[in-house]
Amino acid sequence: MKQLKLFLDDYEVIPYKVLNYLGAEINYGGRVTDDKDVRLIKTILTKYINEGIMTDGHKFSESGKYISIPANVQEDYVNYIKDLPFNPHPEAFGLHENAEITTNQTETRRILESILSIQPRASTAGGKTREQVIMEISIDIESKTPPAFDLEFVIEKYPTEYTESMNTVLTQEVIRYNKLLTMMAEMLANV
Amino acid sequence: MSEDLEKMASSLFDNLVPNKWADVGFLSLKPLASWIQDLNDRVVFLKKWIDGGTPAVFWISGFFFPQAFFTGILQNYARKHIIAIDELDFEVKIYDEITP
Repeated sequence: MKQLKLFLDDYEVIPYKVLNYLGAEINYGGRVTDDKDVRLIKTILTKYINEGIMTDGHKFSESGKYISIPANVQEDYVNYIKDLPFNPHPEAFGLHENAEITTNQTETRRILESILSIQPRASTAGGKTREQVIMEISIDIESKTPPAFDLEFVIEKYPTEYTESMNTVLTQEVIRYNKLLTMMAEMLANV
Repeated sequence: MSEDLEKMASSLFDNLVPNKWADVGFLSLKPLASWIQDLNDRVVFLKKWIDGGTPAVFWISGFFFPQAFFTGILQNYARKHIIAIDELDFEVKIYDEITP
């Protein structure tokens, strides 16, 4: 703030370029180690510090919710801030709408996981214990798990050949599925 | 019951794919029931291939590692026509309807 005042008082015109440089490269950017992050800070800050902000109604983002309001008493500014959305859209941070997708997904997952975690574990409806239910499910899954492939047979029928890469593709796929199927069978048999 | 089995048991109870399986399994976000169905479909696809010979049409999503399949296709073509593999690339055509 002191710095800002100093520059505003000392210059004839407002030195937007200088203010941007101070903010993005020195005061904040100087602490950022990743050069791409510094570039991002620079880009975002230029949106807020430029000639336009002295114009009333200057938009800071697409929607027009965030604007430069006519200069007046402090109360006006406080009221304007109170009116801002409670849950801001990504645009408030200079980000694209899509930036919200990840946040929302993470939040949804967290809520659902919490709900699952508080489900009763001791007993379930119908008088079956949790153990019984698990037993039934595991037997069901076991019956639905296909047996592993006969790798020897596959290698013999589809040998590695210079002109037929599909044989190698098939063999490798069989090896991968076998690894999974064997592990499933082993674990289910031990429940 | 070991810790792994205990974890598997709670996953089964919650209709989730146990982590141990997902770690060595194909990429998927399906819940357990649909995952098992998917696994069966994939095994059937490979089984048909093993028993009936290399198919003319492939179910790409049925592969564990589709990248290997695409590379294999390029390699086959390159070796058959004696062209350097790095000069080859795919061209994709999208059809409006499924033609049998």
